[in-house]
Amino acid sequence: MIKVLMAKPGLDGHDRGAKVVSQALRDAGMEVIYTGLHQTADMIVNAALQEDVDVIGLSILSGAHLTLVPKIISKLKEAGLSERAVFVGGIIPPADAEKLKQIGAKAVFGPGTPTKEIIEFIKDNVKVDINS
Amino acid sequence: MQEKALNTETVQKAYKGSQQAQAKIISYLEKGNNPSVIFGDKYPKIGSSWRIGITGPPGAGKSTLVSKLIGKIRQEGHQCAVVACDPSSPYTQGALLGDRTRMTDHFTDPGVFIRSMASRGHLGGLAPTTSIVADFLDLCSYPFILIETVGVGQTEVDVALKADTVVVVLTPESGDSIQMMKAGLLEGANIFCVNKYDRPGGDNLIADLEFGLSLSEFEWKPPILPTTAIRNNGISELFDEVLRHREYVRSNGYGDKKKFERFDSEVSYWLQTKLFNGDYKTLKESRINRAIIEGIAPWQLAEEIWQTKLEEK
Repeated sequence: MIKVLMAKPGLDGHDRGAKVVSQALRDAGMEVIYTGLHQTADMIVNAALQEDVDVIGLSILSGAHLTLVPKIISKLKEAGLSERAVFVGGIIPPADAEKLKQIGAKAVFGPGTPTKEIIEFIKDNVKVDINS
Repeated sequence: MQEKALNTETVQKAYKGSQQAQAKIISYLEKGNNPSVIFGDKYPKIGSSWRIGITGPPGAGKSTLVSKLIGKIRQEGHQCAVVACDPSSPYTQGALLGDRTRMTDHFTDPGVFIRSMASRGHLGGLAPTTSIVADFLDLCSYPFILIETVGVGQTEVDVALKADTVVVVLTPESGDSIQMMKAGLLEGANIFCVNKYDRPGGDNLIADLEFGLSLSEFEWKPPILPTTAIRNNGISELFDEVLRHREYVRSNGYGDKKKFERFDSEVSYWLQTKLFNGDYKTLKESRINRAIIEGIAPWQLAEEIWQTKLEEK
């Protein structure tokens, strides 16, 4: 069973993307913990830790991705969760997407990404024991 | 990528209060693994926490009420753990666990541990392993464990057995006096919350509930509390009633009766896992096609499988 945390860091209130992806992952047989809007880095890291998730999805449409994502990734490392795959979705220019990947985001998905692509990315990046 | 092996160090860390270790152990238990590694000889020591079950129909405000109750418990200086259940899809096994969304106030409080649980095919309102997870959290020394069920209908009453105090959360729209007389969910309540009491009809529901209760005899008559959780109204009163119920249960020795019943249901659960998994499952699946072709009835096949296994032993 793959467990995914979906969070919206920062101040924008546009949660449709996060909801679309959450529902698609649910339909793909994953357990999705949806944490809602306005999350701080500490809230996201703590939720990931308590829920023992395999993957963390961050949805950002505010333009603050270069501030928020590095902070979350470094706090995940501090908490000993660096092996959890982080993927980012939202309005992110290609140059910024590269930067996010350099600091440790496993994937960046822009508007119009087929949900199938996200599902496949997660399945490829999480090794879940078949027996678990 | 995730650590799979559970070492004794993780177990020790968990009992010393590491939430990360606790989270890992819960995942281990959720997968239906043998709990012996975790519990060792500690099982008889379980019982120091008070388990508050929060149940009610979908959208009644259970998660919001839980969030406010966490706030109250923290204000009183206690730590608390939350196990919040949401349904798994019977079609894809996927789940959207959204209870946490209402509990954001407590995400960074080190005295609060929140865990979402998908029901994973279980139909009683909780996940099959909710009880054993609560047992584990009990040993992690959380004095209060809040168990939130999935949104329930009338018959998902597992929580009545798994929790020490059961709070049934209703809303003014929950139904008329006939609904309030029905068997099942409402019978299991130790406390009623008429939540979203600021909406029209709250007093009518209280009257209907009171009428329903007046027709039965009780030793403990469940109090009916008006609450508006989102505004934190009625939460202190709810916590006081929980404590009063705890005192009542403890002073009358009812805890022992519940302990027996809970134990009984847990044994049944572990027996069932033996029956539905492993070689029973293989045996069953290998014989179904033949049974259909040969016109053997389901109960006859069940008897045949039972006999085969008996002979093996």
